[in-house]
Amino acid sequence: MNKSDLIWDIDIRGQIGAFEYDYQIKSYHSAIAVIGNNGSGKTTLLRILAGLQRPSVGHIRIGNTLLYSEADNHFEACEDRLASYVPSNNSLFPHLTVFENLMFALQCRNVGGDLKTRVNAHLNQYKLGKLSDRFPPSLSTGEYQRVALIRSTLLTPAFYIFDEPMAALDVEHRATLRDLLSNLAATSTAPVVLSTHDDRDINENYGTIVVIGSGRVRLQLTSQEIATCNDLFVNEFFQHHAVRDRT
Amino acid sequence: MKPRRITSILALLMLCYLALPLTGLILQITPSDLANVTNNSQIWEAFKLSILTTAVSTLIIVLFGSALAWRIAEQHKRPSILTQALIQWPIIVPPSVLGIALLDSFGRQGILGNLTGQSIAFTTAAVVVVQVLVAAPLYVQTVLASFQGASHQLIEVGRTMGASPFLLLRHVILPLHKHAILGGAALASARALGEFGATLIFAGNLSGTTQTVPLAIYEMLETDLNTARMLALLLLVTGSALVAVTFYAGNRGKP
Repeated sequence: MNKSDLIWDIDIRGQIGAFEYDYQIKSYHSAIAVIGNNGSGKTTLLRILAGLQRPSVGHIRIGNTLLYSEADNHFEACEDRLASYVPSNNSLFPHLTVFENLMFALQCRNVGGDLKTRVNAHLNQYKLGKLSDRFPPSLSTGEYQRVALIRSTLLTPAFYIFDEPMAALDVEHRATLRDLLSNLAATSTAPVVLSTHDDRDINENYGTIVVIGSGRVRLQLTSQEIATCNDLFVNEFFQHHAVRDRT
Repeated sequence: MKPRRITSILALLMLCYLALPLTGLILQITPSDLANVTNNSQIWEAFKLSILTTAVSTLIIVLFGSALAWRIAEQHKRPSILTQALIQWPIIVPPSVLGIALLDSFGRQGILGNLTGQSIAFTTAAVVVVQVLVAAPLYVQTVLASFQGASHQLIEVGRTMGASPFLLLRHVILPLHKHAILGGAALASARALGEFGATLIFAGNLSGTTQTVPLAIYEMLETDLNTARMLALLLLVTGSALVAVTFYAGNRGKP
């Protein structure tokens, strides 16, 4: 593989308050997973990728798009990155119905055509048509996150950012959403980054696994390398894991 | 006696105490007082001035106060002691202190007066200046509590979706905070409408120029007690209506 096939090319440093970070990720895989303990800096990395934080030094290139380069004084604003960003909770507008939440996503991008039909078709495709008129606070956590996820797939983004989207879910809903995400990771033409602290959320569809600790990338592994990795955190994380068992 | 019974008695006494002045005021008013009020041009001047100045000061408070509260909320942490003190001191200090402070800043010998050679003391503008000072803290505190809620993450999600600032303001920020903005504005205008002490010192008591309803009541206490009572009732009803708006907005704002 040559350098132009590189999909994730991240080399950044910076500081938010007292928290210092230093992330270096290079991956040829379209879908990558970020793991690490709470407070390790997963969310910070993903917020930087979304354009919500600006690093002090380095560069970020995803696919063919240069999103940030300190050397060129280039910083693509989050409004222009065309990313789909789903945080772990609180991402649906509570005063808009499910239908209106999806409509708003299209209005933000100035999409033309018959928006209502498009939104309805999308909701029905994921069997969420019955939630159309409901307000987010009345949804169960499982329904809420499913709506948040499918809203993010309404338009094909430049890339997907999922920040622990299943953190608040019970086992059953977690499995449903995990399949939805895994399917997206396997089939999407747009790169996908998923952060999680549950090993079962990750399978071989995520080609690269990035281990974050104390604001740094401690390890970067392919899914094949997990079985032979001697890192204590990785071993504990994947102790009953499918990827490890299969490889 | 059981503690629960003791608190019940204390609570009842407190309620009675709160209701007594209201009852006293209402019982003293006769229908003929109403006729006196409608025929008195000074009263209508005062009422018009009160409504006008309160409307202007509320607009100023909503515009500038919202911006201040927004900036504080964006820090995602408890405001510094200095910031807290700045947005609360007009509530804490006595009105007479506020009046003197305003003379020393906006008056002829004040900081701005010395700089510009102009004084706004004893003008209608002075009435607005006082009202903004005493009422803005109530507005800022009300909307700050709302702005500090979860809306920042929603705004970030909206931004990543590509929403323009105008789209976010219209479809996210205003709908999410409209109850706090409405409630805060009602609370602030009730306070502005009732402002008396600092207005008397800084703006004076000039009929048609700076005499608002509370000042007219003060003047009439010496000459026409019944009309003063009627005016007090008028102010009470207007203030209650504004507090009712606050209450309504507060309840509607709950999820």
